[in-house]
Amino acid sequence: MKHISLYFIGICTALLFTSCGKDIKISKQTEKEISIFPDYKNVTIPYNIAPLDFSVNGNAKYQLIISDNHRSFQVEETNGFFDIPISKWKDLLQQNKDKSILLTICELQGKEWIAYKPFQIDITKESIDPYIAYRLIPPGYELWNEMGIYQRDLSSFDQSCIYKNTLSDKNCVNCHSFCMQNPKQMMFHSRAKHAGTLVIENGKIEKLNTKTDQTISPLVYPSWHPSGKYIAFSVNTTKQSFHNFNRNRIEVFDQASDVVVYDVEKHQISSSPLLKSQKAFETFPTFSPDGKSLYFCSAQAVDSMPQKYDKVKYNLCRIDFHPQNMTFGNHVDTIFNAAALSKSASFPRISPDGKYLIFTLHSYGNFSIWHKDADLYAVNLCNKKTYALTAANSKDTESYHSWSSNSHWLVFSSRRVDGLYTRPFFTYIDKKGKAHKPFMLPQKNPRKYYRELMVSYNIPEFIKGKVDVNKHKLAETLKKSEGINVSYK
Amino acid sequence: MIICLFYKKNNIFVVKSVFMKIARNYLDFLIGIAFLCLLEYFLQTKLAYLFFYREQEQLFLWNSDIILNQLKHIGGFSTLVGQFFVQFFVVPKLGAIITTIVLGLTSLLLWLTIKKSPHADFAFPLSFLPATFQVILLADVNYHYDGVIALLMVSLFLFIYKQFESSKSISQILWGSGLTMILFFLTGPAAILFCLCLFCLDFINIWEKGIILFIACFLGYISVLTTSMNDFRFAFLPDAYYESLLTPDKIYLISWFSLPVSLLISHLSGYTQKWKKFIKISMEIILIFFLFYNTIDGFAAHQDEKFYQLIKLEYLEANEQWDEIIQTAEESSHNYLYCNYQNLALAHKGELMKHLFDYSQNGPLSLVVENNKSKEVTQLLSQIYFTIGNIAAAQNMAFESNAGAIGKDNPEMMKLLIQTNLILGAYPVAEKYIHLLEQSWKYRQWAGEQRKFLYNDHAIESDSLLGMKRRDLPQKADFIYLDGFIADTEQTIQVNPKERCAMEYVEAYLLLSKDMRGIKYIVEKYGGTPALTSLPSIMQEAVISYAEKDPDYCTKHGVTEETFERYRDYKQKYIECRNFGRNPADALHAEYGNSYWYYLMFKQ
Repeated sequence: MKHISLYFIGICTALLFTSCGKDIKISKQTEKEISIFPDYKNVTIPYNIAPLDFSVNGNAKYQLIISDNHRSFQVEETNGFFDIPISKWKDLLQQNKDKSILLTICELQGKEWIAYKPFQIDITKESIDPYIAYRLIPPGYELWNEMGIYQRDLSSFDQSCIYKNTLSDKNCVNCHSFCMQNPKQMMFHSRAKHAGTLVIENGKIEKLNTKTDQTISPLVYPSWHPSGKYIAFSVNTTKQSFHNFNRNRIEVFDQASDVVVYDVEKHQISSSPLLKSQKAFETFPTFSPDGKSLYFCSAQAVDSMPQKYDKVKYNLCRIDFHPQNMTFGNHVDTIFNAAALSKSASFPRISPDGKYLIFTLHSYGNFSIWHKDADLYAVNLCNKKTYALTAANSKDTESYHSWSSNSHWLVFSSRRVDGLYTRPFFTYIDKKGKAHKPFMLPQKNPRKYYRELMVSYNIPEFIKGKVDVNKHKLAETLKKSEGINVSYK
Repeated sequence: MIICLFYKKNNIFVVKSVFMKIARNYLDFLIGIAFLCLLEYFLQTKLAYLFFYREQEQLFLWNSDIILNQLKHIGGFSTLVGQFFVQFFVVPKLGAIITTIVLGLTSLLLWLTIKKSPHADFAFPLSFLPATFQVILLADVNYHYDGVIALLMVSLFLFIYKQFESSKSISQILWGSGLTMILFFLTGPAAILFCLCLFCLDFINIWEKGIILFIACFLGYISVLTTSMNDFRFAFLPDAYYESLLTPDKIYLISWFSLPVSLLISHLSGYTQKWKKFIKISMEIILIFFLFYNTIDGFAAHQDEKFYQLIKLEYLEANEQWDEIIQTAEESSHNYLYCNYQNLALAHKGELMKHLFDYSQNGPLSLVVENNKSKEVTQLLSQIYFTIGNIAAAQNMAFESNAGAIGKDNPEMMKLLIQTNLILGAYPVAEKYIHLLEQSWKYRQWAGEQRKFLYNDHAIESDSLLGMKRRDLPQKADFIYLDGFIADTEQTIQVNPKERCAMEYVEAYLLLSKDMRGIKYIVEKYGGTPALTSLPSIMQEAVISYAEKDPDYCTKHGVTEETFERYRDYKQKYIECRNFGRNPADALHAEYGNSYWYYLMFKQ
């Protein structure tokens, strides 16, 4: 009922309150819908997001009317998309927190403007963190050329570079991670040339050599302890194999993996036999917001890889963690037994308010970005119920995800646009833990932009502010510093 | 009469002077034209395939956003103009013609600047010196074409500077600094070279020129601190126009300084006004000879002949010139990569099994090299895998090779990615790549023609190439590369026996590996089936090799009487050689060198 009223009011507003200039008047209203790209119909957005420019999938002349209960403004389609004025958009969103706006697309047919069925966009009262960071890299396999870690201001279309590999002889940089979305406390790995891990804290840069005799590899997938004093990592022996004819082009798998925790101050790593078992592949650690639990994924170890690639099923597990002395509990709890359902879980991430754990579920294995069936699931940590984030999922891959600092927004990687190039999507998680229809990262002229973008967005992470680190200093540290050798406790 | 004689004598003198001046001007013009013609000929003869290679290492897109974005970066203009020209190198001879024009303009502008120095006539050949060094540098694919454009821009800016030069100190600083800043933004470190050249133009206003140079150095310093420039050498040296991961040879620095040196010598020619004409002309001739020697010798020292042959084969393969590939590979010193191209060409002609041992072969690597993950090898492997119907491997190799392209995309690999994605039914991705190629000059038509296959399984299945390759897709899920080349290719044979190249490659691989068990397996399993309706003669020879004592088996599996006869003859001649102490490898080569028996017995 609310929906119909809003729709009626919106149409009236659109018809009656037209501003001057190139505004049009609707001659006829239809119930037909028209397809747009990106699909922003009925999405839920924060009030501080950049304009959701979009294109109509059609060849006619179009006009867009954006309205709320009191006002409206029109946008003429130019260069194949609606370039929504940023100041009008921001005002409209500010005025409509916790409300909805209506978007009406009109098409010129002869001399008449025909309006398609409007759609609404819900605006939440909860803001979104102002930035996300991600790596831009072609969706390749082994070879690479240029890549970099970038950050994007979500209230505008500005993207800037945090670090680019051209500064360090085109090496590989990856696995950027922030402590509680803090832009001043972050880390990332550098591989191949100038290998090491950089930890950056309030401008101070440390290079670490993280391979020890007691671990099977340098440190890999990170997760910061909320205190900032520890980082949990996996250590992995990772390989990849190529399918001969499969929607999932490749399979990336571990032949061995463990979980360790790194003490940032003492430069020491430690683990537990429960996290380093030869009979299990432990990976994807993540701390709980209170820092007293360490969640991770664990699968029964399988030999004969990759032949038995589809037999590897990871469960979601938890172990106590004692931050005062960096020790672990003496038993592991299984939070979600994916194997029992003949499934596999990866990338557990807990909301900062500690209520929900989101993970990716798929048929087997752990490197879910290459699994078309990978979807986002949630565990309510209060009642332990597990459910799919249905509204957020698609027929294609949904994979890596991270929480905003207020626990209401999730950014995740999806390949739904073309099946190969990963794009970031945002979904609102309401108080009941339900996901709302997601929206793709806004761009000016998004159809052109995403169509011509030949790189994927990798590891999208929310940050509470802009990362302001001197990239040349980072490069200098990588290239010239010997690095601190991490020891095993 | 004396007055008339004097007047007449003076007129003759004037006429003679005018005549000499005209002759001098036309001589320069003629020398210039001769230089350009020689240059074009040299470039076309020696660098033709390098031009094609450069074109394949980039994809210039007629896309205003991309172009504007490129122009925002320091040196973006020279990169953009370089890429713009390089896109036309795909047309035969255009690479040499365009480069000749660019280098010709560079030399002309330099000469027009040099001319302003008094008595600089004899230094005319020096205006060609920087251009000749560019010819040497262009032999190295790691030298980007931006460098050629940057040098042209320096010559242009020197000419402009000289045209409007002011003697006033402030004006000179402003004028020179303005040009320097613009040039720095357009070309990067070439602006430093410009400033160095100012010192060599003349020896006046040294302090002012020092200030201009300081401004250029300051710009270079700031650019390193504020952009993604890796090192100061990219802001100050010609390294900016070279592959960033490599350190260029000292010839690059020499070429860099050849421009100011030319100017300096020209300026110093002012001190030669008392030299005799004879000495000046001799100097000029020496300079011309030096240019020729320097170019030819320098070029020979820097050209990688093996690599040149390889990229020639890449070009011939892309243009399906199979006969030329076979001839070129045969003429060159043998290496696995050449053999791979040769065998690929034979396969395309349907002659792999007929003529395999007519050419030098050296094990299975002659057929399919190991993947060393280099751009050239992955490109070659992508074509081989596509030919034999291993579409997943072809796509994988094409993607990897494309990732390694210097200018971000390789058009031939993009085409293969479009084809493989169409075959695999990944239509949105195929459309993305089609859209990309449609923005290029050369490939837009081909890309547009692929649109009819999007979301149209019927069109793909009806197409002779795409349809055949789609039928090659395996039905049994498995991993490629895991169990070896034979296992992977056999999957194609099983699912599509009509994929002739798959079977021929399997046969050839087994023969070259001397894998008799594998040959036996293939013969017994596929002999007489649509995949192997009749046994090629070299396969028959292989069958005899492992089943000599069972002629019924041989006959049953397709060995003809003619082959038996030939084997008996071979065997007898071999025994005769042994008995008479002759080297059988030498003695039998002429008649049996192209047989499998010969390969089996004598090839290590």
